[in-house]
Amino acid sequence: MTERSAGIDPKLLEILVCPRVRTPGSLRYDAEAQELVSEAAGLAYPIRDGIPIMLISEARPLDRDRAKTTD
Amino acid sequence: MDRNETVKDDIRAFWKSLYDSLYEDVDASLTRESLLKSLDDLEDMFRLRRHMAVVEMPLAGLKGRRVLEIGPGAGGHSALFAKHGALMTSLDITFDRARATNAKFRLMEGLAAGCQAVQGDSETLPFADDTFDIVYSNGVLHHTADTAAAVDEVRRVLKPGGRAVIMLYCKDSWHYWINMLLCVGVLQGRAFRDGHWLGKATEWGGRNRQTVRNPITRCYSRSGILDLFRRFQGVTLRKGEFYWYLVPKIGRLYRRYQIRRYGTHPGGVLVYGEPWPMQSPLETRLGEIMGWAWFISATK
Repeated sequence: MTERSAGIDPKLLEILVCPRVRTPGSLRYDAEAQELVSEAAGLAYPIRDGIPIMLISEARPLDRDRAKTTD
Repeated sequence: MDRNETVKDDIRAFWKSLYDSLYEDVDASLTRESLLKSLDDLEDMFRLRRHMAVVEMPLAGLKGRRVLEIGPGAGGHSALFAKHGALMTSLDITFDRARATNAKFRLMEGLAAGCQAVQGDSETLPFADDTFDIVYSNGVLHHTADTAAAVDEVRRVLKPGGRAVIMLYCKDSWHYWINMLLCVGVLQGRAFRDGHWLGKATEWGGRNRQTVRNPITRCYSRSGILDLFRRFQGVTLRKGEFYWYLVPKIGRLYRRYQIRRYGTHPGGVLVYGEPWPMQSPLETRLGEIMGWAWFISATK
Protein backbone atom coordinates (compact mmCIF):
# COMPACT_ATOMS: atom_id res chain seq x y z
CA MET A 1 0.00 0.00 0.00
CA THR A 2 1.24 3.46 -0.84
CA GLU A 3 -1.65 5.29 0.79
CA ARG A 4 0.03 5.58 4.16
CA SER A 5 3.04 7.36 2.71
CA ALA A 6 0.95 9.41 0.28
CA GLY A 7 -0.04 11.67 3.16
CA ILE A 8 -2.91 14.08 3.27
CA ASP A 9 -4.04 16.12 0.30
CA PRO A 10 -3.30 19.79 1.10
CA LYS A 11 -6.73 20.67 -0.29
CA LEU A 12 -8.34 18.42 2.33
CA LEU A 13 -6.24 19.96 5.06
CA GLU A 14 -7.60 23.38 4.03
CA ILE A 15 -11.17 22.40 4.87
CA LEU A 16 -10.65 19.98 7.79
CA VAL A 17 -11.00 21.41 11.29
CA CYS A 18 -10.78 19.94 14.75
CA PRO A 19 -14.38 18.93 15.58
CA ARG A 20 -13.96 20.26 19.10
CA VAL A 21 -12.74 23.80 18.39
CA ARG A 22 -13.88 24.05 14.74
CA THR A 23 -11.60 26.92 13.81
CA PRO A 24 -9.99 26.93 10.36
CA GLY A 25 -6.30 26.12 10.47
CA SER A 26 -6.71 24.33 13.80
CA LEU A 27 -5.01 21.17 12.52
CA ARG A 28 -1.33 20.54 11.90
CA TYR A 29 -0.36 17.47 9.86
CA ASP A 30 2.32 15.37 11.53
CA ALA A 31 3.54 13.14 8.68
CA GLU A 32 5.82 11.05 10.86
CA ALA A 33 3.21 10.18 13.48
CA GLN A 34 0.41 10.09 10.86
CA GLU A 35 -1.72 12.38 12.98
CA LEU A 36 -3.63 15.62 12.66
CA VAL A 37 -2.78 17.65 15.72
CA SER A 38 -5.12 20.19 17.29
CA GLU A 39 -3.06 22.20 19.79
CA ALA A 40 -6.14 24.22 20.75
CA ALA A 41 -8.08 21.11 21.81
CA GLY A 42 -5.02 19.20 23.05
CA LEU A 43 -5.90 16.27 20.79
CA ALA A 44 -4.22 14.33 18.00
CA TYR A 45 -6.46 12.64 15.43
CA PRO A 46 -4.98 9.49 13.89
CA ILE A 47 -4.81 8.76 10.16
CA ARG A 48 -5.36 5.08 9.35
CA ASP A 49 -5.07 3.62 5.84
CA GLY A 50 -5.12 7.18 4.54
CA ILE A 51 -8.40 7.99 6.36
CA PRO A 52 -8.35 10.83 8.91
CA ILE A 53 -10.26 9.68 11.99
CA MET A 54 -11.96 12.91 13.03
CA LEU A 55 -13.69 11.53 16.12
CA ILE A 56 -13.02 13.13 19.50
CA SER A 57 -13.48 9.71 21.12
CA GLU A 58 -10.67 8.24 18.99
CA ALA A 59 -8.24 11.14 19.41
CA ARG A 60 -5.08 10.87 21.51
CA PRO A 61 -4.78 13.47 24.28
CA LEU A 62 -1.59 15.46 23.71
CA ASP A 63 1.20 15.09 26.20
CA ARG A 64 0.80 18.14 28.42
CA ASP A 65 3.70 17.32 30.76
CA ARG A 66 5.86 20.10 29.43
CA ALA A 67 3.03 22.58 29.88
CA LYS A 68 2.42 21.35 33.40
CA THR A 69 6.02 21.96 34.53
CA THR A 70 5.47 25.66 33.95
CA ASP A 71 2.20 25.70 35.92
CA MET B 1 -17.84 6.66 28.59
CA ASP B 2 -20.91 8.89 28.37
CA ARG B 3 -24.28 7.77 27.06
CA ASN B 4 -23.86 9.60 23.76
CA GLU B 5 -20.64 7.71 23.05
CA THR B 6 -22.31 4.39 23.89
CA VAL B 7 -25.06 5.12 21.36
CA LYS B 8 -22.44 6.07 18.75
CA ASP B 9 -20.60 2.80 19.43
CA ASP B 10 -23.84 0.87 18.90
CA ILE B 11 -24.49 2.77 15.67
CA ARG B 12 -20.98 1.98 14.41
CA ALA B 13 -21.31 -1.70 15.36
CA PHE B 14 -24.59 -2.09 13.47
CA TRP B 15 -23.53 -0.31 10.29
CA LYS B 16 -20.16 -2.13 10.23
CA SER B 17 -21.97 -5.43 10.53
CA LEU B 18 -24.39 -4.46 7.74
CA TYR B 19 -21.44 -3.38 5.59
CA ASP B 20 -19.91 -6.85 5.96
CA SER B 21 -23.23 -8.47 5.08
CA LEU B 22 -23.98 -6.36 1.99
CA TYR B 23 -20.80 -5.15 0.40
CA GLU B 24 -17.70 -6.98 1.50
CA ASP B 25 -17.78 -9.48 -1.37
CA VAL B 26 -18.67 -6.91 -4.02
CA ASP B 27 -15.92 -4.53 -2.91
CA ALA B 28 -13.27 -7.25 -2.77
CA SER B 29 -13.69 -8.07 -6.46
CA LEU B 30 -13.91 -4.53 -7.91
CA THR B 31 -11.47 -3.36 -10.55
CA ARG B 32 -11.28 0.07 -12.14
CA GLU B 33 -13.12 -1.22 -15.22
CA SER B 34 -15.85 -3.03 -13.30
CA LEU B 35 -16.34 -0.01 -11.03
CA LEU B 36 -16.76 2.39 -13.95
CA LYS B 37 -19.24 0.00 -15.60
CA SER B 38 -21.14 -0.34 -12.30
CA LEU B 39 -21.33 3.44 -11.97
CA ASP B 40 -22.99 3.67 -15.40
CA ASP B 41 -25.48 1.01 -14.27
CA LEU B 42 -26.06 2.86 -11.01
CA GLU B 43 -26.85 6.13 -12.77
CA ASP B 44 -29.22 4.33 -15.15
CA MET B 45 -31.03 2.70 -12.21
CA PHE B 46 -31.37 6.04 -10.43
CA ARG B 47 -32.92 7.56 -13.56
CA LEU B 48 -35.49 4.76 -13.76
CA ARG B 49 -36.43 5.39 -10.11
CA ARG B 50 -36.31 9.19 -10.32
CA HIS B 51 -33.93 9.03 -7.35
CA MET B 52 -32.63 12.28 -5.86
CA ALA B 53 -29.07 11.27 -6.86
CA VAL B 54 -30.03 12.22 -10.43
CA VAL B 55 -33.08 14.49 -9.93
CA GLU B 56 -32.19 16.86 -7.06
CA MET B 57 -28.43 16.43 -7.65
CA PRO B 58 -27.38 18.54 -10.66
CA LEU B 59 -25.08 15.88 -12.20
CA ALA B 60 -24.32 17.97 -15.28
CA GLY B 61 -23.26 20.90 -13.09
CA LEU B 62 -21.05 19.05 -10.59
CA LYS B 63 -17.73 19.68 -12.31
CA GLY B 64 -15.39 21.48 -9.90
CA ARG B 65 -18.04 21.69 -7.17
CA ARG B 66 -17.04 20.88 -3.62
CA VAL B 67 -19.51 18.24 -2.43
CA LEU B 68 -19.80 16.56 0.97
CA GLU B 69 -21.60 13.24 1.27
CA ILE B 70 -22.57 12.24 4.79
CA GLY B 71 -22.93 8.48 5.17
CA PRO B 72 -21.63 7.24 1.81
CA GLY B 73 -22.49 3.58 2.49
CA ALA B 74 -19.88 1.75 0.46
CA GLY B 75 -19.19 4.81 -1.68
CA GLY B 76 -21.38 4.20 -4.75
CA HIS B 77 -23.08 7.61 -4.75
CA SER B 78 -19.84 9.47 -3.94
CA ALA B 79 -18.00 7.66 -6.75
CA LEU B 80 -20.81 8.55 -9.18
CA PHE B 81 -20.58 12.25 -8.26
CA ALA B 82 -16.77 12.10 -8.53
CA LYS B 83 -17.13 10.64 -12.02
CA HIS B 84 -19.24 13.68 -12.91
CA GLY B 85 -16.40 15.93 -11.78
CA ALA B 86 -17.40 16.75 -8.18
CA LEU B 87 -14.59 17.26 -5.69
CA MET B 88 -15.93 14.78 -3.13
CA THR B 89 -15.39 14.64 0.58
CA SER B 90 -17.22 11.66 2.07
CA LEU B 91 -17.75 11.34 5.80
CA ASP B 92 -18.89 8.19 7.57
CA ILE B 93 -19.03 7.36 11.27
CA THR B 94 -18.03 3.75 10.43
CA PHE B 95 -14.39 3.23 9.50
CA ASP B 96 -14.95 0.36 7.07
CA ARG B 97 -17.43 2.42 5.08
CA ALA B 98 -15.06 5.38 4.88
CA ARG B 99 -12.31 3.00 3.78
CA ALA B 100 -14.53 1.33 1.15
CA THR B 101 -15.42 4.76 -0.24
CA ASN B 102 -11.78 5.83 -0.34
CA ALA B 103 -10.85 2.58 -2.08
CA LYS B 104 -13.33 3.41 -4.86
CA PHE B 105 -11.85 6.89 -5.26
CA ARG B 106 -8.35 5.43 -5.57
CA LEU B 107 -9.54 2.82 -8.12
CA MET B 108 -10.89 5.72 -10.20
CA GLU B 109 -7.41 7.33 -10.17
CA GLY B 110 -7.45 10.72 -11.95
CA LEU B 111 -11.25 10.68 -12.27
CA ALA B 112 -11.47 11.14 -8.49
CA ALA B 113 -8.36 13.27 -7.98
CA GLY B 114 -8.62 15.20 -4.72
CA CYS B 115 -11.58 13.12 -3.50
CA GLN B 116 -11.19 11.79 0.01
CA ALA B 117 -13.13 9.88 2.68
CA VAL B 118 -12.99 10.83 6.34
CA GLN B 119 -14.30 9.11 9.46
CA GLY B 120 -16.40 11.50 11.50
CA ASP B 121 -19.70 12.28 13.20
CA SER B 122 -22.50 14.14 11.42
CA GLU B 123 -23.37 15.96 14.66
CA THR B 124 -19.88 17.51 14.95
CA LEU B 125 -18.65 17.83 11.37
CA PRO B 126 -14.87 18.33 11.13
CA PHE B 127 -15.16 21.04 8.47
CA ALA B 128 -14.94 24.81 8.54
CA ASP B 129 -18.06 26.96 8.12
CA ASP B 130 -19.12 27.83 4.53
CA THR B 131 -17.06 25.06 2.89
CA PHE B 132 -19.28 23.08 0.51
CA ASP B 133 -21.39 23.89 -2.55
CA ILE B 134 -23.58 20.83 -1.92
CA VAL B 135 -24.12 18.52 1.04
CA TYR B 136 -25.71 15.21 0.01
CA SER B 137 -26.98 12.53 2.35
CA ASN B 138 -29.15 9.58 1.36
CA GLY B 139 -31.10 8.00 4.20
CA VAL B 140 -28.53 8.54 6.93
CA LEU B 141 -29.34 11.39 9.31
CA HIS B 142 -32.47 9.69 10.70
CA HIS B 143 -30.13 7.03 12.16
CA THR B 144 -28.08 9.38 14.34
CA ALA B 145 -28.78 10.33 17.95
CA ASP B 146 -29.62 13.98 17.29
CA THR B 147 -30.95 14.44 13.75
CA ALA B 148 -31.72 18.15 14.29
CA ALA B 149 -28.11 18.80 15.34
CA ALA B 150 -26.88 17.01 12.20
CA VAL B 151 -29.15 19.10 9.94
CA ASP B 152 -27.85 22.28 11.62
CA GLU B 153 -24.30 21.08 10.94
CA VAL B 154 -25.17 20.54 7.27
CA ARG B 155 -26.27 24.19 7.12
CA ARG B 156 -23.15 25.41 8.92
CA VAL B 157 -20.71 23.79 6.48
CA LEU B 158 -22.64 24.86 3.36
CA LYS B 159 -21.52 28.01 1.57
CA PRO B 160 -24.18 30.74 1.50
CA GLY B 161 -26.39 29.79 -1.45
CA GLY B 162 -25.18 26.19 -1.20
CA ARG B 163 -27.66 23.33 -1.41
CA ALA B 164 -28.56 20.46 0.88
CA VAL B 165 -29.83 17.36 -0.97
CA ILE B 166 -31.07 14.97 1.64
CA MET B 167 -33.26 11.89 1.96
CA LEU B 168 -35.02 11.18 5.22
CA TYR B 169 -37.69 8.57 5.88
CA CYS B 170 -41.30 9.60 5.44
CA LYS B 171 -43.89 8.96 8.11
CA ASP B 172 -46.79 9.83 5.77
CA SER B 173 -46.17 6.59 3.92
CA TRP B 174 -47.57 3.11 3.33
CA HIS B 175 -44.35 1.60 4.64
CA TYR B 176 -44.62 3.33 8.01
CA TRP B 177 -48.36 2.99 8.68
CA ILE B 178 -49.08 -0.41 7.11
CA ASN B 179 -45.85 -2.42 6.87
CA MET B 180 -44.25 -1.12 10.03
CA LEU B 181 -46.79 0.23 12.53
CA LEU B 182 -49.74 -2.06 11.70
CA CYS B 183 -47.95 -5.31 10.77
CA VAL B 184 -44.81 -5.18 12.92
CA GLY B 185 -45.73 -2.71 15.66
CA VAL B 186 -49.33 -3.72 16.42
CA LEU B 187 -50.03 -7.19 14.96
CA GLN B 188 -46.66 -8.60 16.03
CA GLY B 189 -46.90 -6.49 19.19
CA ARG B 190 -43.38 -5.11 19.00
CA ALA B 191 -44.36 -1.45 19.48
CA PHE B 192 -45.72 -2.35 22.92
CA ARG B 193 -42.59 -4.18 24.04
CA ASP B 194 -39.71 -2.09 22.74
CA GLY B 195 -39.16 1.63 22.23
CA HIS B 196 -36.60 0.83 19.50
CA TRP B 197 -38.92 -1.43 17.52
CA LEU B 198 -38.72 0.62 14.31
CA GLY B 199 -34.93 0.49 14.28
CA LYS B 200 -34.98 -3.25 14.81
CA ALA B 201 -37.52 -3.77 12.02
CA THR B 202 -35.67 -1.77 9.37
CA GLU B 203 -32.46 -1.83 7.36
CA TRP B 204 -31.03 -5.35 7.57
CA GLY B 205 -30.14 -7.18 4.36
CA GLY B 206 -27.46 -9.15 2.59
CA ARG B 207 -25.99 -12.58 3.07
CA ASN B 208 -25.37 -12.69 6.83
CA ARG B 209 -27.82 -13.26 9.67
CA GLN B 210 -28.49 -10.15 11.73
CA THR B 211 -26.73 -10.32 15.09
CA VAL B 212 -26.44 -6.61 15.96
CA ARG B 213 -29.44 -4.37 16.43
CA ASN B 214 -29.97 -1.08 14.61
CA PRO B 215 -30.19 1.47 17.45
CA ILE B 216 -32.09 4.28 15.72
CA THR B 217 -34.47 4.77 12.80
CA ARG B 218 -36.78 7.80 12.70
CA CYS B 219 -39.31 8.96 10.15
CA TYR B 220 -40.83 12.39 9.61
CA SER B 221 -44.12 13.95 8.61
CA ARG B 222 -44.07 16.86 6.16
CA SER B 223 -44.30 19.35 9.04
CA GLY B 224 -41.48 17.54 10.84
CA ILE B 225 -39.22 17.99 7.79
CA LEU B 226 -40.16 21.65 7.43
CA ASP B 227 -39.32 22.16 11.10
CA LEU B 228 -35.91 20.44 10.76
CA PHE B 229 -35.06 22.65 7.75
CA ARG B 230 -36.65 25.87 9.05
CA ARG B 231 -33.36 27.78 8.89
CA PHE B 232 -32.94 26.95 5.19
CA GLN B 233 -34.57 28.71 2.25
CA GLY B 234 -36.43 27.31 -0.74
CA VAL B 235 -37.15 23.96 0.86
CA THR B 236 -38.76 21.53 -1.59
CA LEU B 237 -39.72 17.94 -0.86
CA ARG B 238 -41.27 15.08 -2.72
CA LYS B 239 -41.96 11.45 -1.94
CA GLY B 240 -40.55 8.37 -3.64
CA GLU B 241 -39.80 4.67 -3.18
CA PHE B 242 -42.67 2.23 -2.83
CA TYR B 243 -42.16 -1.55 -2.94
CA TRP B 244 -44.79 -4.24 -2.43
CA TYR B 245 -42.03 -6.64 -1.41
CA LEU B 246 -41.55 -4.69 1.81
CA VAL B 247 -44.92 -5.91 3.09
CA PRO B 248 -43.99 -8.31 5.89
CA LYS B 249 -44.33 -12.07 5.12
CA ILE B 250 -46.23 -11.94 1.78
CA GLY B 251 -43.76 -9.42 0.34
CA ARG B 252 -41.25 -12.21 -0.17
CA LEU B 253 -43.63 -14.05 -2.49
CA TYR B 254 -44.35 -10.85 -4.40
CA ARG B 255 -40.63 -10.24 -4.82
CA ARG B 256 -40.22 -13.57 -6.61
CA TYR B 257 -43.09 -12.71 -8.97
CA GLN B 258 -41.73 -9.19 -9.47
CA ILE B 259 -38.29 -10.45 -10.49
CA ARG B 260 -39.86 -12.90 -12.98
CA ARG B 261 -42.24 -10.27 -14.36
CA TYR B 262 -40.01 -7.18 -14.50
CA GLY B 263 -36.46 -8.54 -14.13
CA THR B 264 -33.56 -7.06 -12.18
CA HIS B 265 -31.24 -4.14 -12.85
CA PRO B 266 -27.45 -4.39 -12.29
CA GLY B 267 -27.43 -0.83 -10.87
CA GLY B 268 -28.24 -2.21 -7.43
CA VAL B 269 -24.92 -4.01 -6.97
CA LEU B 270 -22.84 -1.06 -5.77
CA VAL B 271 -25.45 0.26 -3.35
CA TYR B 272 -27.30 -2.87 -2.16
CA GLY B 273 -24.75 -5.58 -2.88
CA GLU B 274 -27.14 -7.23 -5.36
CA PRO B 275 -29.14 -6.39 -8.49
CA TRP B 276 -32.19 -4.20 -7.92
CA PRO B 277 -35.59 -5.84 -8.58
CA MET B 278 -37.25 -3.57 -11.13
CA GLN B 279 -40.26 -1.61 -9.88
CA SER B 280 -43.62 -1.95 -11.57
CA PRO B 281 -45.05 1.27 -13.08
CA LEU B 282 -47.76 1.18 -10.38
CA GLU B 283 -45.11 1.13 -7.62
CA THR B 284 -43.39 4.14 -9.16
CA ARG B 285 -46.71 6.05 -9.08
CA LEU B 286 -47.53 4.92 -5.55
CA GLY B 287 -44.07 6.07 -4.44
CA GLU B 288 -44.98 9.64 -5.38
CA ILE B 289 -48.11 9.45 -3.21
CA MET B 290 -47.10 7.29 -0.25
CA GLY B 291 -43.38 6.49 -0.62
CA TRP B 292 -41.00 5.81 2.27
CA ALA B 293 -38.50 8.49 1.21
CA TRP B 294 -38.64 12.27 1.44
CA PHE B 295 -36.32 13.68 -1.22
CA ILE B 296 -35.45 17.10 0.18
CA SER B 297 -33.68 20.02 -1.42
CA ALA B 298 -32.93 23.17 0.58
CA THR B 299 -30.72 26.24 0.16
CA LYS B 300 -28.59 28.02 2.77
